[in-house]
Amino acid sequence: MKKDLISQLNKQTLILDGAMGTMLQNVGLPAGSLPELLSLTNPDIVYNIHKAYIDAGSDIIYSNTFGANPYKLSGSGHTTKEIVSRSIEIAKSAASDKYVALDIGPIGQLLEPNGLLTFEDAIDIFKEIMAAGENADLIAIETMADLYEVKAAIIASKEVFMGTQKPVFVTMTIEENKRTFLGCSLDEIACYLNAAGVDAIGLNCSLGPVELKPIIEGLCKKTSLPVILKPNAGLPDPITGQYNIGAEMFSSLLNEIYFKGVSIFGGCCGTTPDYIKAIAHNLKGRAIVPRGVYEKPAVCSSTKTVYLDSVKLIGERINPTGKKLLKEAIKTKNMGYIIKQGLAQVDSGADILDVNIGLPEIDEAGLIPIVIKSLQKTIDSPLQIDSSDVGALEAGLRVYNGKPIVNSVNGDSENLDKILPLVKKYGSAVIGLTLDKNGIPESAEGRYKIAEKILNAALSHAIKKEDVYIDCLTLTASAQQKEVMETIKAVRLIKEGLGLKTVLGVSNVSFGLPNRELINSAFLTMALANGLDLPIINPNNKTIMDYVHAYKVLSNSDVSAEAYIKKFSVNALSDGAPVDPGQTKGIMSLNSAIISGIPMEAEIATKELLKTESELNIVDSYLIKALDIVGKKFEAGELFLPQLLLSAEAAQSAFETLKNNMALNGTTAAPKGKIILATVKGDIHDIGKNIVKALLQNYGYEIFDLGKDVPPEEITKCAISNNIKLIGLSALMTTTIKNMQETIYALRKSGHDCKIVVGGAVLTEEYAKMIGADYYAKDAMATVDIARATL
Amino acid sequence: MVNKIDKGGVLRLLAYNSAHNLNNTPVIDELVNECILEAENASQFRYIYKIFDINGCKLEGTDIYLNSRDIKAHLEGSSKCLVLAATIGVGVDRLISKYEITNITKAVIIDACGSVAAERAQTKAISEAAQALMSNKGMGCNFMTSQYSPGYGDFPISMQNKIIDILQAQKTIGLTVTENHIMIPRKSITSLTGISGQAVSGKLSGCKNCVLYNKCKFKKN
Repeated sequence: MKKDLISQLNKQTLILDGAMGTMLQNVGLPAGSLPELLSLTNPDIVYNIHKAYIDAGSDIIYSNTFGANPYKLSGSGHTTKEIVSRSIEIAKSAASDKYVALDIGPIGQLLEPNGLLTFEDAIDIFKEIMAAGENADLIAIETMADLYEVKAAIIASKEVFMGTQKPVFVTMTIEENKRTFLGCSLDEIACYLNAAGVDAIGLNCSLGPVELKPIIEGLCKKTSLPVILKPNAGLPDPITGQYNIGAEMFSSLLNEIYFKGVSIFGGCCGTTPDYIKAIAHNLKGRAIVPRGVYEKPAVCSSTKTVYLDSVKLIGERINPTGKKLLKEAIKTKNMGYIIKQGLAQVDSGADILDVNIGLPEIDEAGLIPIVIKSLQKTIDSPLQIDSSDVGALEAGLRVYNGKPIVNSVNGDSENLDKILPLVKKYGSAVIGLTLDKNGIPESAEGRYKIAEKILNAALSHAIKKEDVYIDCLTLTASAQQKEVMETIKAVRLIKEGLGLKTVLGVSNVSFGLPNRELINSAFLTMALANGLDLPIINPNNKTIMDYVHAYKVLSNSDVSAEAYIKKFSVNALSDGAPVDPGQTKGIMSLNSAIISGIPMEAEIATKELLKTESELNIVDSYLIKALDIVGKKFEAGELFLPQLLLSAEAAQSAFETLKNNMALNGTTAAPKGKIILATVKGDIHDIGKNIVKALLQNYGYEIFDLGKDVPPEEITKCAISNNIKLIGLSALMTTTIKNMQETIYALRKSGHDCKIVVGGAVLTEEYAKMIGADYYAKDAMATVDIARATL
Repeated sequence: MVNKIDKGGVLRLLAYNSAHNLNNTPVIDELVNECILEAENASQFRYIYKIFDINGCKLEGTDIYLNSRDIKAHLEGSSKCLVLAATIGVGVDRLISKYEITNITKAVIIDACGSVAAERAQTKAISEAAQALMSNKGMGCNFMTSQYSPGYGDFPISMQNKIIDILQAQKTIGLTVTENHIMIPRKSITSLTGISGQAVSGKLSGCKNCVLYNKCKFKKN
């Protein structure tokens, strides 16, 4: 069946069906109830709707399974398997020789990081649906707003139907601003789905054909896959719910869109068999209008696409080699530190971030998903997953939300056979290193040959040519001076001969030489002039960045030197942002910097104090004293919360300065005590908990921040294994207080000796007692007092 | 501008009052302005509503029963009910989560900005709904009560999930609700408004009717 459908997809137009929900509401289905249950209770009604669409001319009908998933069906008394398999049966009996698609809509719970559903759970839910719907001819994933949810569904389809090649259609739902509700644009939709290995992509629902016309035309220009359009019957009247476009009008609008290259047509909300009949009359079985699209090389996160149409910078700083604090952060899972490294590079101009957390003493495959998830939660630049451990590469690729770059494969056949299938499965681009078992060829020609081998291997795994980037490998001038130029030569050869994008790590070249910046910058400029597309650099290095800006002018990619002039003109230098009070003055005492809440001043003052005082003395005699003054003012009602927090941040910045200093000296400070902070299971309000954390850290406590939605077991486990004596729990909802109580119960039952402090908007002193807590903290300062009293 | 955020409202939610000394922290005022601007830019105003006949305790055409004492009192005299959900989208949630890592002060201020923006979104949505209703003569809708939301009084917060379902809010405005009845995007509001041919006011809305009126720091009047 599959072969037939796939060959038809590329040959002629196909007609889908129209709305199921609208038809069911027309026969009296109450608003808010589950239409999928009718497959069990009233199969005839469902059958008749399918039949009506088949009679109207549908080539493919969608089963009555849009919301048939364990989440939406919970409490219905029926399983996903029951409903999905029955729905497919009904559709097949109506379809005769036409195709039946297993229809899959959004699960109904937002995935992390926006919601609470984990990516792994989403994959499992989709697998359950697909296993139950295995008899369908194809999978139709529709009405999606979250690229991450789409990715979960695509991975599920590959794992459930491994080897059987069941076609997969994906349609997203988009607003007039050309983004989905979750901020994903046509660029990301096309960039990820072009690489994801699906069979047709498009748009459905949300708007009518008038509004969707320019949007689908935009999508048609970004993909060479068959394009699907399934609009609503216009826009609904807000009062009556009636849609404003009739069947004939609908059909004639779709006919116009056909000429832009869309080849699969159907209807969504408000459409009926009349609409399908009208479009089938015009559009069924017609030749596909060729689009001649070239898919531009690109990578993306879920909300940002980076097109490789000019030089793009890959930030190299998330790599522990030679970085003491980053090593420490990786070992202690301090995601805040890692995220800040990422944000700093993006602020300095990195387009893509390399992520390498390889350390001998950690479980890289176990940790990399946590790092990737943390980074993609706060940073929208695409990531490059860098590891020599295949397990870690796969773990990272799996959870990445978008199309990343794999760093790397090499010319060794065994290596290619292991990694390329992962690149294909997860829809990634890949860097190929021009080396193999025999090492790095000395000559540019030798490296060209390996690049060619890598390209051919990638093509044989159905990875597109534009997704293969070659790293010609930078050698160290101090050790292999005569081969430095071979690298530059190889860049040009590979770029011109194979037409591939090229990558180079730059900093290696200067190893062992003085004034490394100079060598790096000169080498970078030479490589860029010879066609380097993706330098891997330290974007926080001003000299290197200045050379990149200059190169962009000289190579005519910064047209009219607009960006350059903006950055370097005399006006830009002198006419910066209004000077932040104290930002550069460096005249405040640490005490007043903290009380006034100015982090930069606090940092400068701390550095000044370090000349004469010990770290510990600075904490006790300056930092904590200043914080106490602020705390008292807050309690007296003289300051409001943001002012208290600004002071906390200033103190934090003083602390960081002290910590950096100690790391340089190889000393560490013993924390005042260890405290767990967590927002209880089911609750996602963590801002209050984070305020408490900021203040407690200022007072020198070591915080084990377990985050939000934390199950009781996890808190108990952490308390016991780290022997923590004070546990702070937060809950903001009346509905999640019960989970707070359960957590307290679990801690008590474990026999672990600890005090528990609770806080959150719905709690009171009495309530805290009632659920068994030791302390109630009315605000963050109160928690500090409790910590001081108990630890 | 649809997303305009009122600074007074932001300061109120931050429990600011005239006793506070802004001079202590010279950057604070500018910081609040900056946060308001960022929150405005990150907001995407969307809403959806449907109108149902009230039939005894039931919203006709749904499986929603309005059995709680307070909601019954609120809708007394109304023949129809406007069920509405409004949101400012995930943009502000994302800003907050970023600033929770890099700048907790801004996270707190933007959190307040988001709440003000969500309230404004609801007000705006209600006024657009009212306009559509008034222009539809057949509806006989001349009067509206104020808004009543799940979690007020004895109207259970679990009703949130039902409202999201009957409005198909995920599909129409990208609004979902967790099993513990927390809406995501976080800065969203659902409400019920009574509609009638005769004057109705809605008995139980506004700060003065809240059981926490005497001790709340955030009340409006």
